[in-house]
Amino acid sequence: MSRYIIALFFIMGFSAAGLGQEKSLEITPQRKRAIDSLALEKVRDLSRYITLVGNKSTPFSEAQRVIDRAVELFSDDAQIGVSSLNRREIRYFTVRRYFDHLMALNYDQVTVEWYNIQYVSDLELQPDGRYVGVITIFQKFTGQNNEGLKYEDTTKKDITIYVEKKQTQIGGRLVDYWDVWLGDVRVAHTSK
Amino acid sequence: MIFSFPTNIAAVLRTNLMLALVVFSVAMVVSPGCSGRKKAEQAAQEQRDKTIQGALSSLKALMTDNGMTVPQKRAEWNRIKNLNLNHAEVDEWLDKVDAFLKQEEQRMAEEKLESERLAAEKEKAKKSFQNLLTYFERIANASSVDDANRHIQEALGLFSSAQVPVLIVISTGANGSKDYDRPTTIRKYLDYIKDQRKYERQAEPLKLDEQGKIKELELIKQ
Repeated sequence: MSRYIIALFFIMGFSAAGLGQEKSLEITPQRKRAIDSLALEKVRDLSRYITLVGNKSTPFSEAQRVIDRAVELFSDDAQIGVSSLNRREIRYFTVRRYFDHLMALNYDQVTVEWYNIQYVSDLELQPDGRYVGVITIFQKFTGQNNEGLKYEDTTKKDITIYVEKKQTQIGGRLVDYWDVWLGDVRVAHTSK
Repeated sequence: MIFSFPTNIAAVLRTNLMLALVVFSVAMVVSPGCSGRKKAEQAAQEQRDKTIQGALSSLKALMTDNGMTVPQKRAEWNRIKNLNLNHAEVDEWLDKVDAFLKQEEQRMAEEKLESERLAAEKEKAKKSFQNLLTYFERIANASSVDDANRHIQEALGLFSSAQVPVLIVISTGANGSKDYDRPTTIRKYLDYIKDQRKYERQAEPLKLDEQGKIKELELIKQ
């Protein structure tokens, strides 16, 4: 009996600690807006990196540097889905392989444009202390070669967003910051 | 028989009576004058004691935080000194307060110097940021990658090193607490401006090193 009581106390203690941690991680509406906005900006930044790497006039060394910056936006194991009107399957690549694939596309001109970037699932606090949300984007891809062959599609993609409060040391002082990074980029659907 | 004084005796008596009258009159006149001087002397002494007590009280107050500024305290000290009270305790307190005020005046002079140094540093940091903003603008609007890279190299000359940390404030709480984006370095931030063609236009006062180069940058997101 006493063992049950001790176990109950332990469970209650852990639950209270968990609730306390969750409460301390709750954020004010003003802070929430700032973090939402920051996450959207990261997605827009990614959009620009994709445009730069896809652009055939971007020098190779610049493209490599841009890929490094883009990789830093993602979690290590994140994957990006790629679809085509010419096949049914959706292929998933690691972020670096996705960009390598984008650079190697067999077109003379490539334009990738993202629009309607918005939250479909608001950032929500998870038990592990991270906030997770989903941002959706529409991508218009155009590939064209000098012979006039042109491929175009529009894809709706869902991007998982992670936000976590972290701490680092800058100039001898501890600085709290909100780390925003991207998870998988999943293809929702592709159309002409 | 008729009794009569001899004529000379009557004259002597008359003379003595006259003398007595004169002495009485003088005594009547002089006696109140003596008492007034004493009173005046006593009043003067009382006034001096009062002045000394007032001076001592003022001097003691000058050693405390009585709401007066240091120059006001020095003026009060001068006023008391100029009273030339020639009183041992007052002189002792004048010396004490003088030493105290000299310390305060030195502290004020040092504070003034420090405040002037900080103001000069702030002005320098402000100019440095204006200069940096010019580079941000040139990089964001560069006509080519080479052009942007050239401006980046020039801008890096304003910094202690390419690894200088850059903090970006995304929001500030009511209590002044700041929320930051993931910290980056100036090299990466300048590349970011080149890639994204945008930059932050506001900053906290820059932190400069001894050579006047930026050693930490804190930008504010709009």
